Amino acid sequence: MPDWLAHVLFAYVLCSVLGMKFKTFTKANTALVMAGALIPDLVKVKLGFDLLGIDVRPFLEPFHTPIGSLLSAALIALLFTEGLVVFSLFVLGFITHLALDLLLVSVSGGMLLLFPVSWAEYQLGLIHSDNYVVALLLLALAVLVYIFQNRKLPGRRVNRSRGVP
Amino acid sequence: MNRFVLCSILVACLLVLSTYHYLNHDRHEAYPENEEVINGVEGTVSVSGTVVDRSDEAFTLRLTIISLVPVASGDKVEVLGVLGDELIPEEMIISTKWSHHAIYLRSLLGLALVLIVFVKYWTFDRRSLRFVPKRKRE
Repeated sequence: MPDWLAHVLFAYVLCSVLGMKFKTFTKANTALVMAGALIPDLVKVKLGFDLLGIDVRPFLEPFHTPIGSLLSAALIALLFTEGLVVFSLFVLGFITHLALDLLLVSVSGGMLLLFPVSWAEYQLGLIHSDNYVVALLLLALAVLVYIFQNRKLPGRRVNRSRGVP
Repeated sequence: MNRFVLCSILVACLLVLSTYHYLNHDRHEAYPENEEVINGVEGTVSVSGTVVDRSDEAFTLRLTIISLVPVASGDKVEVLGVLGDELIPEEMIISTKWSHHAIYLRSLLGLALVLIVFVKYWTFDRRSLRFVPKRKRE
């Protein structure tokens, strides 16, 4: 996986850009997309079990697939008002996650994008998982976007904080 | 649909999905992995782990890899290679111990960022037992 900072910043930059065109991407909803960008990594619960010497990877791996993330997103969206909108934002979030992870290098295998229909594994093999340049570039981009969004324009006052239209 | 019923259905679906993967993943792996290697397969395998020892000609995960690639104890290594008495690598991905730790550090920053942004715009309503957006002006 690229680190969570890269995932979260990628979601933030994407929502900020989309927010210029679509009113749905308020700051509150951007927060949901950013949270959704971490949903596939619920699989990382396995790290806790690894410390106990228990290998739960084969059981938790489906969380890092589109269908597993979809079900997880739906489950978490039940904790929100306007669940359907929140669910859609989570879906966008986890799609950004899987898209970034697709870029990673792996010596064998890859991501089970069509599981459980197919066990074919996909990977583009462009970046290493410990590559910090991606996070650094996204951080620079996020700072630029943040500055652009918060620049003061004369005679203009916009409230973009509210979530769920 | 009742929230509890929907929640039960989704949890059940996730359990079925996970169980299906758990029971069938061995048959669909491109190459035998750590567990099968320990159980004694031969041929092309894919193993990964943390380097525990290093000599002039080889390094050790839990099995010895014949390679001159510079690695240090604590590095994370993924190896695709041919296993006979020893494993001769064809492809390798190495993460140094510190770059691997840096991933966790950056991930903690990412998690903190999400939590801060989330708490800023959302709050938990105890009456409805749901998260609701905070209605405040910027």
